Amino acid sequence: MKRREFLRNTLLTGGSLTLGGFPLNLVAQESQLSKLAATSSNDRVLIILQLHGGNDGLNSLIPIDEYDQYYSRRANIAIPKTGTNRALIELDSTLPSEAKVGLHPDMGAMKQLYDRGRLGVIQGVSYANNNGSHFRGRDIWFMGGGANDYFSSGWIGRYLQQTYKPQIYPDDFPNTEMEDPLAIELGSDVSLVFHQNGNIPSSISLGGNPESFADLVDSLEGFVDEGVDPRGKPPVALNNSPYGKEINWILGLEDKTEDYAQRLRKVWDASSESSVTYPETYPFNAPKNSKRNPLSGQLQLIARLLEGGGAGQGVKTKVFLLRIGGFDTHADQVENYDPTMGVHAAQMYHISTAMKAFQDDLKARGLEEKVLTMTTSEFGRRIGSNGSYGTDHGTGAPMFLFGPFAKSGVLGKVPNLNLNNVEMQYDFKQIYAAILKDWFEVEDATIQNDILFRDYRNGNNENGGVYEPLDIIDSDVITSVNEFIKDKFHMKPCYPNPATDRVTFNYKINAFTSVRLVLSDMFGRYSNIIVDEIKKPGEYQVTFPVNNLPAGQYIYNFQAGPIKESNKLTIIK
Amino acid sequence: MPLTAYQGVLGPSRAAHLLRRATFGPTITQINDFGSLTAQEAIALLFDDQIPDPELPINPETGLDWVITGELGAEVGLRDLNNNLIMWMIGLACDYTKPVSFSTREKIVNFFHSHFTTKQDKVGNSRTLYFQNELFRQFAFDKNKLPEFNFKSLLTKISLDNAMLRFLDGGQNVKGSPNENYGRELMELFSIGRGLEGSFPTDLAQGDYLNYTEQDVQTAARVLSGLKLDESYLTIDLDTNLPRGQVDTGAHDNEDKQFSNRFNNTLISPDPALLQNGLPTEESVIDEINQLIEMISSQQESSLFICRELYRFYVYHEVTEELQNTIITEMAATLINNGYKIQPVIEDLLQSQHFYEAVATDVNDDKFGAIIKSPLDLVAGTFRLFNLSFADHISDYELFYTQVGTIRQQMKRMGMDYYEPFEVAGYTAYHQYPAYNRNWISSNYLTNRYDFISSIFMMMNGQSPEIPGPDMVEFTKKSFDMATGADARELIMAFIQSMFPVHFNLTFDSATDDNAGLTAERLNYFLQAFLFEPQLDADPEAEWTNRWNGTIEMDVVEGQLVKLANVLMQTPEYQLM
Repeated sequence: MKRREFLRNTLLTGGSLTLGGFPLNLVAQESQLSKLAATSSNDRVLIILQLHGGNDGLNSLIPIDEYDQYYSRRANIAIPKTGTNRALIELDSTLPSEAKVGLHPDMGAMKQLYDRGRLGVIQGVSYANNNGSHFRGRDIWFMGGGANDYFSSGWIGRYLQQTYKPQIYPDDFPNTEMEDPLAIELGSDVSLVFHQNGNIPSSISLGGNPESFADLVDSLEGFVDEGVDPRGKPPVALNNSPYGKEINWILGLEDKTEDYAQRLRKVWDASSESSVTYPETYPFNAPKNSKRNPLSGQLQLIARLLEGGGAGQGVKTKVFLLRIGGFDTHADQVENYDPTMGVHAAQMYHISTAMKAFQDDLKARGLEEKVLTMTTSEFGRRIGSNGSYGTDHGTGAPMFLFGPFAKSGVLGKVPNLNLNNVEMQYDFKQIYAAILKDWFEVEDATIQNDILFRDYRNGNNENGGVYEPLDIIDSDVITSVNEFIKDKFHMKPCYPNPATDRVTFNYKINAFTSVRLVLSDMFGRYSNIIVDEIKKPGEYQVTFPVNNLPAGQYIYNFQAGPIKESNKLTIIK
Repeated sequence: MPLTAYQGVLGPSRAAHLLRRATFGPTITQINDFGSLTAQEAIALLFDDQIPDPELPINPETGLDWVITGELGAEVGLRDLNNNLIMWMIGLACDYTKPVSFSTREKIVNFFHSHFTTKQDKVGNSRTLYFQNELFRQFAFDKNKLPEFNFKSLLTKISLDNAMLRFLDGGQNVKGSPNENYGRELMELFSIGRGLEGSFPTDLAQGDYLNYTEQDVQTAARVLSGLKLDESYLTIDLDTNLPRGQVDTGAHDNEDKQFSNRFNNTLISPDPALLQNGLPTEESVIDEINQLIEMISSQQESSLFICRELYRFYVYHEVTEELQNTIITEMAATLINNGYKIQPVIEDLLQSQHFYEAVATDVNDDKFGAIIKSPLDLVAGTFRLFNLSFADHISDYELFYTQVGTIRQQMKRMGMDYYEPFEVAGYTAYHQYPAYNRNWISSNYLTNRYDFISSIFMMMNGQSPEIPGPDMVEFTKKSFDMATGADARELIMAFIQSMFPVHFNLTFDSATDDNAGLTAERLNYFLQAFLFEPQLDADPEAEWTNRWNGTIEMDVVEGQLVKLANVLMQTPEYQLM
């Protein structure tokens, strides 16, 4: 026996239970089909990866052309540019000078994602009057407001409200079209990002294996609801008392726990284990508490739930939140004997390797194109380091977007390193707006009026200027990713072709990577390895003699980083 | 102005309310005893400061104290001692055998910890953490102590506290290269805050946070520069006799510190009389810190800030502008009029009409059951209600640590990793607008709360022999008279009255439950679960009476009582206080 009816009565603010004279739940039912039709094209999922404590963006993305200034502002924690095997990894040598950045040496996996067109970076993300507070800052990001706003709802809570309306959470859920939680927070919390006005949060928390969780729920007296159990429903007269408000809150979550525990177990049981190996520990020196990868288990869980054993069997949950702590690096951000080692290095490693494994896992499950991951952090850190091998609270910082639909490349410039703080280039709400519009395909009017309360795509900004829509989500993933990769890794047609004496190959790579160039004939009788070594990023030319080869059709195979190409070469005599 | 006091005898319901909020929860005896007192008499008992200090925790390696003596033993790791210390604190909260005001004091210590958060892992030293805990205990009952014991001076002491110096990097804040961590949290979390949460300030300029500015944070860090840890514990604070950090005068920024107009452009300078050849001394640095705390505390907003926190901790999380202008403002006046002492403010609040039923005729102003218990409140309250004890922490310390270790893990699963909150700001439930204590409840946390209740009764069934659970027959006999015990319905109501915060006009008759605190449907469900699932007898209620009066088939009776306790306590009602 469920208590939907009473929850509707007590949690709805405004109290109107009819719409145009019809009971609301009838309206909801009738519109479900049309609603389904409208939303069925969007089965996309957003994962929010919260870097708790304020990530030091300048040691995640190290300026290259401004390196000297970078070094002079933070000599005791600066990542070396060259001269060691733990120097920065240049992200992309094709970027314009003012955007050139290197990744922390422990972010090699992120570089691989970038080279495969699965990583976008946005520089200088912040908000006006960024206040350097952990919990206020996090709340501002979660509620999707400004420094002076106090919303009691989060931007995802509002998005979900709009997406499923006129169905109302929690009363109308789960239902036949939406059996799954609208949002899931990994771990145990209920973050503000999922809250809805005057309502329980639209998410449920999931600490680990859904099977043991469902078993536990099953075994507890508190979730038994046979017979005449009103399960704590208070007398109506108490609904607006402090007691009534708190008890209704607990009841709402109790009810959802029971609803969703069994469903998640079912999906989990049907899902298959990952074929990909996720990283477990950081391989270098770091404090004990930083060694274990805190994301692997959670990302694996998400991948399994999204798959659910086969096409269409996974959860339809729209948004997942997971968090990784340890970014509040006032002191000992790096080890005093080596600025590339320490807590922050381990964090960078964890994120990069876990996200790489996650993307591979999703790809293996055929889900990669459904999922976009976004990092957030309440603020960035100061440009200058402090005396304790750390950094104090700052303002702007880079954001990372993962997934094939994340527009590959770097948006924005390297910060002005002469200042105290990383300047704002983009308001984080512009990124939210782009995700809502281009990823979730929400109408502009809904974004402006009901979710972000301002036009962050084309409207006026706070400084008298005008926002421009951000191009951070690809519309056509195959073309755009291929173009991105081709631009970074490619082999030009060899020449001359046809050739008689010698042939010249020109190619370009954008990462430290193994390069293999093999020339063979059409029948496999002849094969010669022309290049087989690890090369650094750059453009290369290699000339190969063919005067000893008989005339005929040949093939040259080129492999480097993410690409494999085969082309014909004709030899004439 | 003191708040309007509650007049007359409390009665059991208000007494239980007062005890749940002021302490870690009442025994049934205490509910009965306090029920016949006036609010003033009750407060006098709750704040009786003639009580012993807790007995020190024991190092399992040596069988002796270590926090004072420093006898760490040869093999025990520091981490184990950290764990032992925290288990000792949890044990103090659960201990029902001490005088009631002992628990009042531990609850204020718990408040200070929620306010001045520390994470044990970063502090990494059990003795350092113990001295902080003892500092809180000394400042919990401050009314009858010397004037130096007040919240303002606690702010100074905590600024010099070794655990805090470690936790917020105050020990690494040096001249020329300041570490701002502590300076910022001192302003934002400890002393003045960001103003009334949820109110909409007018647009502020970049770097202006209403009560202080970004520049003030950085300037405060300069005032605080040059402190360093002393984990040899040889630097002693003369007011408390507790070890504190020391001053590295060479690392102190001795220049003038100019604060913003948010602090009336106060200039903090070293007192020339305290300098030596123009150079800073320990006295001059501490004097500057005193000036800083004085500057911050002289702002009206600072007194409002700490009073809002006290209000949310003891009464209810919703603080509107109207409440801020009335109750909170009165509390702040009490604070200031009493030399910034905390105890008079709490006493005044807990005996006020507002704390019980602000408007006698309107349930919407009642404060009963308005707070979701923290996991510590839930655990300690349950132990205390059933008079459950851990093994003696002195004579049987090994078993004690094993037992509390189990409970500590359960608290962690309920969302409270004691002395290891996820955030620097502390446990989310105590600071995050607008949800506050609702952060204690998620699908996971709630399930683990119910699981804790279930486990308490399984312990008695021998499944987890480390902690003896309640003997429900004994408990029922001791708590309620014979006639109540013999009547299943009366007994259910008696249990509810001791466990649930709201329980007026209880009835099993749905025709007459219009003015009741619980629906008749709800009561009937409890009856159903108690005696009808499974139904052993043709007339279960009559058979209950027979068994109870005749003391026969007590294993059946025990089973039924355990079932009843489970269905009563694995409920939303029992999560509230």
